[in-house]
Amino acid sequence: MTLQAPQALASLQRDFQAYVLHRAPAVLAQVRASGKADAATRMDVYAEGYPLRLLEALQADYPGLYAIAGAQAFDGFGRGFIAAHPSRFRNLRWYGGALASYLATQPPWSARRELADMARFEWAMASSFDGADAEALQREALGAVDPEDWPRLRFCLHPAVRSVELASNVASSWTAQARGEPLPQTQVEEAPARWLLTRRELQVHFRRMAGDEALVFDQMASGASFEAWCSELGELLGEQAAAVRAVECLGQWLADGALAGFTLDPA
Amino acid sequence: MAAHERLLMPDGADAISPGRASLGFGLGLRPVHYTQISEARPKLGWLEILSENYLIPGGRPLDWLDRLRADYPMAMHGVSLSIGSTDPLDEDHLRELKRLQRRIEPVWISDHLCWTGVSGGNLHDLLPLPYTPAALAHVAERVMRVQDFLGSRILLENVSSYVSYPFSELTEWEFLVQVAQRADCLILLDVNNVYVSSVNHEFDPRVYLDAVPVDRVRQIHLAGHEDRGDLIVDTHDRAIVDPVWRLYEHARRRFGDVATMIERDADIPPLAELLDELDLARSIAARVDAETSGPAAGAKRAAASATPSLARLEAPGGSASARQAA
Repeated sequence: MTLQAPQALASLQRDFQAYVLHRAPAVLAQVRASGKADAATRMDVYAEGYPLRLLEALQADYPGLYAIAGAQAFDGFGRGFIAAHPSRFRNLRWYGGALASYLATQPPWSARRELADMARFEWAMASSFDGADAEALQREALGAVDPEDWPRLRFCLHPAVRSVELASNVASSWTAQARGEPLPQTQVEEAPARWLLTRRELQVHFRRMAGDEALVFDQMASGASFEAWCSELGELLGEQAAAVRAVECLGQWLADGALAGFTLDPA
Repeated sequence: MAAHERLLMPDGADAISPGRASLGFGLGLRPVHYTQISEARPKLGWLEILSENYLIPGGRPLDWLDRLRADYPMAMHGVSLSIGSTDPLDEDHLRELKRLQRRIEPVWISDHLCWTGVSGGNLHDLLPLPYTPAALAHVAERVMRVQDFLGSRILLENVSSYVSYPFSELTEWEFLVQVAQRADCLILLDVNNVYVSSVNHEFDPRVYLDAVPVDRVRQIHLAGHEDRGDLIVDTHDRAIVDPVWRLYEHARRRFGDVATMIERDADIPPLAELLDELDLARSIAARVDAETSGPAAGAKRAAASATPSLARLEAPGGSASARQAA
């Protein structure tokens, strides 16, 4: 047998990959066996290494999930996820992004809401951690804007900002595992809360947003004007309180380093 | 010497010895050592980064990279170019590599002579190619396209392998050398990988090393592996074993003063332990260099063995070390 054409090379590579992914035996006839090791033993070095390498990447991305699930469960859903999601990523950094939705939909893991929550939380942390760099908007920069013009302000988010919805106390569990402290008992709430993740001094910070803050955060993040935030809040709080609350939220986001800039609509 | 390679050399190095100026002894940079390296500034000639770790938008890893780059020359080492795959070259990946290349101005850019996946899949492993003329043509053509895109010659590294194909028409070393010659690329010689494959496929690793042209090798990798009894597996999770050190000695004798480093990717020990291991490499190199009459004489000696009369004529007017030897 000779390999004369790229098609033959492609076919060999497909057979090789099929063995690594699901032990399809076609490649074994194309691999040299020796007294030292037969073809399957040799191919198994690759086939066994593949899930281990991906599991290791998942463990590195999800230390909090590993802590709350335990080694055995993590191995169980990790291997399930790997079997259901053959890697199509060149860079392992991006491999585990779909783990939260896998855990949210795949029994028995979906019954433990905190698992998908933690995965969502940690993925958001990781993507904030190495999100794009930008100068955070400083409070002083707004000083030049006439208060009369504030209704026409629109803001853009810092590129490392993330927000996630969590129904369980995984943020506390995450902090506990990071500090090497005992994990708190899992608590799941009826209504999920919104969490804001920001990056300051290259460090990711997170905090729970109040319901009205989350509402106006979505307005702000979608590019709505300050006037539109106030109007959204007005339905909850009344006009006067809405403006005060909107300024409060803005002040908090500036302190968080959550904003990267603003524009002023034409008058 | 291609002009684009000179662009990558550290300050003034190419003026001394075009393209082959050695940076001495280095380490693979791993995040667990960022702080220690930054604070202790160990005496390292260079650091090799895993390119993929920095193909990210921003944040702390790139901040560390910039800070350490201010103190050390760096080489970019990739694991996912998949130069031997029959899938199209990934242009997004190449663009990302080029951005990183512009950011850190590496001494070299390297990846592996292998494939990592097909049909859009990625097995995140360094998979062996069949050593056939068709595969050779396929790989060489892709290497040339990558080099054109990056504006630089790349280094290709030999991989450890556990399978070979009965229809291979060339040995691994013939394949490596012919790819390098046809694509005019350079070689990153992983001495541990030569050893691992030599045990798994039962060949003499010295024959491999002796077949590699001295002037194409720019970097040497050393690492530990796991002996599983039937096969040995390239794991980078432990100290380098004696047979690999002996093979490194052979490599030093043949290739001379080539930039050498240790890779550790799992069970990574404290920096001091790796620096001690690197000192072992230094001491082997020093012993070989002394035996072969001074640093940089290894390469000359290899050339001399091929053309003894020319070497005798060249020695009196040669480098300082050659004169010292005479």
